[in-house]
Amino acid sequence: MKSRIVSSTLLALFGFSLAIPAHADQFVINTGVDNAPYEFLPTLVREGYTTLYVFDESNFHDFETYIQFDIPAGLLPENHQVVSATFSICYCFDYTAFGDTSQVAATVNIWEISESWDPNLLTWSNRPAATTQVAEVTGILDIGPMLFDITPLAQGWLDGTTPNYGFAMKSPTARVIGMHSFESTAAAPLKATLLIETAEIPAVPVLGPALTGVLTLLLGGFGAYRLARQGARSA
Amino acid sequence: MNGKITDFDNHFQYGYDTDRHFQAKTCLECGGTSVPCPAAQSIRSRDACVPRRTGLSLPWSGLTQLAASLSMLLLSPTPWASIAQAADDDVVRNASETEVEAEEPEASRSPALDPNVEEILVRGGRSGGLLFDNDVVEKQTIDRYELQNMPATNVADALRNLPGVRIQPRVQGQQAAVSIEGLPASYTLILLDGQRYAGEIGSVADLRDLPLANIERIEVVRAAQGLRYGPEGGGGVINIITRPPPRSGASLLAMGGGGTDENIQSDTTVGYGDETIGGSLTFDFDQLGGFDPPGDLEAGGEADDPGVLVPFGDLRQSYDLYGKVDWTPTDNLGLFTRVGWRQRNEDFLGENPSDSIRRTYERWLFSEQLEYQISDRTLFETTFTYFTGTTKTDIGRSYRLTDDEARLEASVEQLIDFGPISTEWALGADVRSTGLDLVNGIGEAELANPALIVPPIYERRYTAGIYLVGLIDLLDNLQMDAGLRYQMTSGFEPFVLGHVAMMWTPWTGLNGESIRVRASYGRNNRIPSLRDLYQPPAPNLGGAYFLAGNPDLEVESANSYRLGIEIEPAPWASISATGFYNEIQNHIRSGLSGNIVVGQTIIPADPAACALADFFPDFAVFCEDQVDERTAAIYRKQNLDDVTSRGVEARLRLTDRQYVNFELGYTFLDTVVNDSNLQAKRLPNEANHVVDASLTLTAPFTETAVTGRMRWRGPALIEQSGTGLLSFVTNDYSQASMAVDVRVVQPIWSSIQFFFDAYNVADNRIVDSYVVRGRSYFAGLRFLFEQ
Repeated sequence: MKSRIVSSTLLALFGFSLAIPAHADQFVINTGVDNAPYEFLPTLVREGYTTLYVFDESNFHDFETYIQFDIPAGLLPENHQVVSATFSICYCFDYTAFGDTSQVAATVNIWEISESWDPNLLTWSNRPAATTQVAEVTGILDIGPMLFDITPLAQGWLDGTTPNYGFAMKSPTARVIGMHSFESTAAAPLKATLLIETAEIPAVPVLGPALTGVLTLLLGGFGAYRLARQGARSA
Repeated sequence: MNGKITDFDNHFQYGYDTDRHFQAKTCLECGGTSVPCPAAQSIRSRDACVPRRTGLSLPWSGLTQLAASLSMLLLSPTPWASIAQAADDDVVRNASETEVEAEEPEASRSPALDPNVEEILVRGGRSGGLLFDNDVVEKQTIDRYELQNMPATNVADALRNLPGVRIQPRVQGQQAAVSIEGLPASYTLILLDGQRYAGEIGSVADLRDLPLANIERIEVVRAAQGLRYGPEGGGGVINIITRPPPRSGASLLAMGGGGTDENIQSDTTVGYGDETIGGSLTFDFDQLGGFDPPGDLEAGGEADDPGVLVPFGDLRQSYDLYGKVDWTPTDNLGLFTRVGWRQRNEDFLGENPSDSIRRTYERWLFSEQLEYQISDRTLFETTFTYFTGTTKTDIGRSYRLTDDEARLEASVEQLIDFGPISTEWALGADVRSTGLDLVNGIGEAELANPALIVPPIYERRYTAGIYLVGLIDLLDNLQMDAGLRYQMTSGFEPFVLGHVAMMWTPWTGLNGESIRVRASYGRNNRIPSLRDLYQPPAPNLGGAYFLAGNPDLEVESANSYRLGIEIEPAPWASISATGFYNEIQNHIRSGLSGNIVVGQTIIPADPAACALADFFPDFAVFCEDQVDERTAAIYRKQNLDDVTSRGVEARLRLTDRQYVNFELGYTFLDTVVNDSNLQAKRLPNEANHVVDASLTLTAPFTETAVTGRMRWRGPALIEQSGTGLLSFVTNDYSQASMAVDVRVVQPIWSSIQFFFDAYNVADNRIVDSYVVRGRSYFAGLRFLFEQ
């Protein structure tokens, strides 16, 4: 009897708990390392440069950009998950040092890096493997911020299931995409920024308050009915 | 008498020798008897000491005679061989060797020479097989006979295969900066008839600017030469000496030809003179187009060799006028005037014609030299020179940069005997005023990027030096050349330069064979040039990075040590080996010094990013337009701690001076860079091992001459800027490379010569860090008329 009362109470409390929304957090990460190796100078270490580039000239002047954010340990509490992770970086200039900038619409995609790399040693010749594409932005025609949804990748970094080797930015198009590196003095939002929103992991899908109330009443009523009936039998 | 001081020689006829007056000199009268020169009778008598044809000296009285003379020449036996022989005789005769010449069969002599040579002055020259002249320092003379057989149409090509010499293009504009034995190119002084005519004042000169057609000979002097030439000659001097004006009648020398890569060259020299005055005027046109990168690069692939640098300039044209007048109004007075004008245009063509940009360079030279022979043993000389060069460019930045220099030199030379010891002393002084004038233009780059506009710069420097140099015959077979120079420069502390060199000839054979041992030490300081100090940030590679001067630079100093031996076991063979060690403190190079703001960009408002501001307030910046500054890396001149270069040059020469000439050279070079701020520990593009070889064969009857030459370079540390920026050096080494050039020369008429060149026959397109011109061809005709 006592156990029945307890279970009914817990059930009722569970029903109430389903009615409480999960707690969400937002984080901005704008520190880390970056480097943009240059195919034309395949052994050049560009660490310390204030510029990043990404484009494919179909010649020997291609650039790629490699970025690894500093993600502090414990950023994601237990039973939390990444609701969204947006990588933002400004396409701030299209340099003419490499000839006339192409005016075609640019595509920039993000590739997960699967091995460690050292920004102080990174060159075109030793750039790490990045074979899994995780995000893409197409139709870039104007200077401005580029936003990439990298939620699955960030989830893996935060929950520890994927090592944080960073990601590579590559482009199959010829438009010169110039960006500021971490060493640049440009305003912070113009440089590489990772915007993360996290929330607790819900046990079941969250129900609406009305449905929760109804369910609570049904469960409570069912418990009361069982208690009354059991009392009548015993009487 | 080999190597003995006897008297002043005819530097007026041989004018502007690199070594000036301090040479081991011997004299030879006509007839092959080795005797001392008579005391310098007069300047005119010295003039008589050169080969001079008299058989064709017709009275000059108009075009009729000219035409008649021309006809005679065209019908006469080929004069080219006689020119070749005369070139040898002009420069490379000494007493012992002349005796050998006297024993040569009659057939070995040019039929046109012997009857016409009145007398020959013999100065410190090399004998038949020797590699270097009979001088205390290592001086190599390349005479016009060698030059005309070389696969070369400019001085850069001519010197490309000299052991220990490296010629490289540079981003700043020089097509052929020359460095000797690991010393920077700024340590090599290049002179035309003894005067600066090419390149930046106080900095790097460009050998590509100097065509070969009218050149009498080229002298390459290694080791420190700062005493007489100032600090710019701290690594060596290359003196290009043009043909002297005729002393009797008229002359015409013309060369023209064309080849691949839009290469067109035309060179015409006309001259006229009588016994007291002679003049000549040279016009030269030189055009060269750009060239394609190697096939793999062209196809979009990676180069076999990493770090290759793209070629510069799509079309380069230059026009040159150079005139000289030699006047000897009295027996002991000579006046020599030089006037030069040159313009070089470089067009860089974009994909659209409207995108083309241009860099032009224009320079003027005027010099007046006076020589007055005070007595048999005293000579006074003074020279005034004015040089100005202006660069105008729209490449990356629009500006006009003018270098100018006014220089006055004076010296007194005196022969003094101390008992059995003969000495020759020179006391000289020079003053210079050097200016740098920069005026910025407001071109498209500046309108788009106001940060590139810098205030005008005008700087002027005054320099004065006084020197005393002595050439001392310590023994019959031991000579010493030593001296000091006190140098004063506005804005810098004065300093003293020193030099001492010795030549010991322990053995001389009956037929001119010899062994010579040379040793030298030189101390040189190089003051930063005005460009080193004040050049405003100038974009390179279209703005990928900037180069700038640094007003805080300190004087760099160099110590050079050399020890060499030269053996001539027979008149047809010579072997030499020289070890060298150069040490530079405070070496001036470019290094990364931060970033420069090069422009602004308007970042338009972005709704998507603005929406994130609800969660991330910083992103509110994207809710409206914002201004973003653009930056690029800037490299400034800086003093490195220490740079050393050391190595060995070994050479072999086999020649019969008529049908066969073979030279083989090997250079070992090791460089060390010590600077705590740099990762690179070696100088870029300096290969450890270089092998040079050349072979000239001349057919006995047809006089067809075929020359092949080769340079093999071992791997070298890759430079990735083309500027000598150590910050751009990687730890990678280039692949070995080999360049082979061939020239065929065929006299086709008495005064006309045909030649055909094939350059880079192996089509090796990458040398060290540079893409170089692939296989190319050139063919031309040379015409010589001398009355």
